[in-house]
Amino acid sequence: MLLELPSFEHIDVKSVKEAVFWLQKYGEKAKIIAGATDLLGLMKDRIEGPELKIPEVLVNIKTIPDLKRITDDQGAGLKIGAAVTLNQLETSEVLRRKFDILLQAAQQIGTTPIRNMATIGGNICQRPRCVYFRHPDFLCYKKGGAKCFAVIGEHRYFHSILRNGKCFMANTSDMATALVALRAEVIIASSEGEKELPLKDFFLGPDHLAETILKPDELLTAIRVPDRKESPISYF
Amino acid sequence: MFATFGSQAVELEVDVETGEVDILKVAAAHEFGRAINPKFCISQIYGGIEFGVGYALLEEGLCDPGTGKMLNNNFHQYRMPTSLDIPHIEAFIIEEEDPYFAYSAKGAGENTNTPTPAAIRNALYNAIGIWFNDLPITPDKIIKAIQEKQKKG
Repeated sequence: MLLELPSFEHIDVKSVKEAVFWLQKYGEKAKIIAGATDLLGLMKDRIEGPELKIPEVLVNIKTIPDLKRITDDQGAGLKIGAAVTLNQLETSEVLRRKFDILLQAAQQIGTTPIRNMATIGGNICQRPRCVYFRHPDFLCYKKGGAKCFAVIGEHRYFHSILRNGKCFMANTSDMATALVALRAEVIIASSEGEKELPLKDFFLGPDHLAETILKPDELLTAIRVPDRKESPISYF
Repeated sequence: MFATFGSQAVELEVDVETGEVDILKVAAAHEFGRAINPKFCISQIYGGIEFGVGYALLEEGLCDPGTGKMLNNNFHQYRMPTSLDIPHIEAFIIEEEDPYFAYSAKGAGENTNTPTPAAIRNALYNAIGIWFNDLPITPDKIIKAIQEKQKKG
């Protein structure tokens, strides 16, 4: 079956402030778009439910130059913009010198065409890869339904049952694992300004509808990986 | 009706901790009657082996047990072998005369993929001593079988 994308508004923003403005204006109707490898798939498959709407406005953050850079702040660590592609991470000299584990994690993801498009911010904020979530006929818990179909259904590939909860999906982000190990922090921009918090507090547990604490009008702008005095051996 | 003959051999490595299977080399010898275009026949063997590797190790249609709907009806969840999964292949064509067919030519289609899963299964038995009766042989099945074998002692 040939699926077509539903119609949507596409806004190129020039700064984080502008992105926040549009997100605030459209609220739940708007979604951030950077690499589009995850979001457009969901839109094409018409994944929707009472708690998950197909976005009508896409705010493109790839046009913000600041978010596409890896900067080495002396003392404060490495700052990786949210729209840095995985291919940029793979080929980054700074990363090879300082945090080889991030480079190895980036190499594990997808295929070369996907890594050329997908961004680190998108990788951290991606939706579940669960077969029931990605199927338009199943109204699962994450879409606003009553239950998780994976409990009695097919759960061999995309699920993990670590503790009781409403959703049994396994977070598929390879970058998040490596970043949490490096005690990375995320920088979130909203209408109230910027805030910084550890990446491990960024994720929500299985009882929530969303995977991250990002609100509809918030935007992940960068990831800060702190410098270390010692240089531990790491391998992904 | 025609009968084509072929045989394949597989060399592989199994990681007994993660259950991953790494196919190192495949040798395939097939008899297609007379090979009218030998290059096409060799390509057909390559394609058949790629198909067979997916059939043996990766490709599985997942169905919801409650409704019977296919769950992985797209390419990111239905996994097919890519160029990285395909090992070095050594292909041989054996040419035979067959008086019942025009130019002695027989088929070179599906018969190139049927021996591959069997050869992979036999190679797995040779490596870890377990017979698998259920395709695809995914890492979870391999780990489970190894654990059960260790329990039995």
